[in-house]
Amino acid sequence: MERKVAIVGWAQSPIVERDERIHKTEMISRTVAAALSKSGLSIGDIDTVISASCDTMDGASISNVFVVESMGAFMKEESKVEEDGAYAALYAYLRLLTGHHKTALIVAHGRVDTPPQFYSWMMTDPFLLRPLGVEMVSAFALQARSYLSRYNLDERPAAKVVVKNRANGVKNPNTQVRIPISEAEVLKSPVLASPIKLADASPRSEGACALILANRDLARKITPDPVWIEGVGYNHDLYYLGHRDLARPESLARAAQMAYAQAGIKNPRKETDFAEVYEPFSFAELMLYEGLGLAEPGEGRKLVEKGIANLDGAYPVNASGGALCGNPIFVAGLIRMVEAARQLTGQAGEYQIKKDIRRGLVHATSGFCLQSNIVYVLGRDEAKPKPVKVKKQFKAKAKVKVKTKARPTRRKKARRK
Amino acid sequence: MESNQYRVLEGNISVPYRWTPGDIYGRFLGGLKEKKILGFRCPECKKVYAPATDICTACYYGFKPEDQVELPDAGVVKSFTVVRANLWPPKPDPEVVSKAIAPTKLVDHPLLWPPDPPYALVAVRIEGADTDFIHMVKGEKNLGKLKVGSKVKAVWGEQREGYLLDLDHFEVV
Repeated sequence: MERKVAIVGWAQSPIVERDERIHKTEMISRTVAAALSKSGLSIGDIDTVISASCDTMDGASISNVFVVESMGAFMKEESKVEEDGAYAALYAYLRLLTGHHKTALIVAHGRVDTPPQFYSWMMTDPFLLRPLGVEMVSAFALQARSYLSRYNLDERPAAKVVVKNRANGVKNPNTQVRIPISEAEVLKSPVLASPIKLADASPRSEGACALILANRDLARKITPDPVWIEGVGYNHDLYYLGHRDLARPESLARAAQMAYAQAGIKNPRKETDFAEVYEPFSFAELMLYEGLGLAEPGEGRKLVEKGIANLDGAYPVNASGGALCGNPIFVAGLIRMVEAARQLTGQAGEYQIKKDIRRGLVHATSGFCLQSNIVYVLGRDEAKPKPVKVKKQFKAKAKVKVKTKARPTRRKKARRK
Repeated sequence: MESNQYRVLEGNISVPYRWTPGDIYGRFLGGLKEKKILGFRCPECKKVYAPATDICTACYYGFKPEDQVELPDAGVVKSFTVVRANLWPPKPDPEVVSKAIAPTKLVDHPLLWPPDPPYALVAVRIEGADTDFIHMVKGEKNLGKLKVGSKVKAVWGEQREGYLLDLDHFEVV
């Protein structure tokens, strides 16, 4: 696929369980400022802003209206998706493809001002699901059981996913849970909703993430290491849990195939080098291997049993620790994009994948039981990026590394009109 | 001296709603009141949906009242989860809520608070249907016997008013 749009900057707040010393607006504005600083752009260089957040969690209708200032979105075109930030990135990407905008800022923020189970319970319809107390954990537990029963599996492969991701998370300074865990500890952890145990579930988290996209001409001027969007696929399954095949989410396979077709990929295991996937629960990661075509149906377990998906494996998945180490709702999928960009530009520090990587998969999901899925193929230029020292986030004045001359100034823009 | 810098504003939002199930969903819920599980058969692909849905997801056919078929109140468990952990804060006292927020008794209604664990969520393939009905299995005895493939039968509530929980739960037979 022709490389038309690239990731040129990003930042995330540290993922934490809860920080009551900070206003949501500050969390957002500091993250946006850090992303601008990283890319050497100023807020005036951003043409359009797409945000992702949740009205129920914020406790307000159209809750993005309160944070337009913090996002730097005033006097610009601004819109919000009530989905994971990876969908905000999709809409921003499509806007850039139209040619109406040259740069886009994506902001995802997830503050758990209400317990997350209330937010997910409120996603259920009042007639058929809400009286049953269906929320994220119990819905995914129904799916996990469907999957285990379909392929006659026990709970150990999923426990191995937790062990892998938690071991990776220890190395990631931006994530929340940085404590390793053993398979026996996972299997012994208390049951939330069988077969999901406490250790199979992602933690309660909050955080914000910002990503900057630019069109081809600008991207090369902004950074020596643009991360190109080579393909993106997205698909949405049925809502009612009893009306779809929970064991094999079709929307996931379709999203993946759409992305691969754009990127000209026939065999994702061979033609991509690693993946960052949004696994709200350990069982989901096994299903994601299969849906993404990295394993045959029912054989996702082989990637963890044989160590293929480990940080030093042949095909690392969630080198960052994934959502099992930090799951700010509405943000975690966008963070997967950032983590893939870090890997492709050699900025992942201790959890940098050692083998030579050129292309990575990013997956994010939204809704109950992988209802909605989005898959990106991200790639870097052929030349290997020079090792970059990872900058500390939220430094008061991060060093600007962009050639100022190349940056479009307001005057230049005006002249073009 | 204790710092006064970081404050937390605690609130609670209780907003009244009136949700209308319309004709097709209404028939399904009305069926439960009569201790009946109603399905809807697509005239194009013959797929039977239970519970109701407004359209056939295979054909995008909009269901009409005449597509209604009566199904047995029994089926087979296709998936289940035993919910053990109580993830919820205690149900608010309706008196307190109604005085503090709005003059409504709605919080009394079972629709507005999740059931107490342990209970199982089950996906039941009702006999004659092609989709699964998400509902509950209750009681430790039933929970112990629950498997994928278990046969279950509806246990109806005493007082029924055309809501999902008129069918109180399924029991393993």
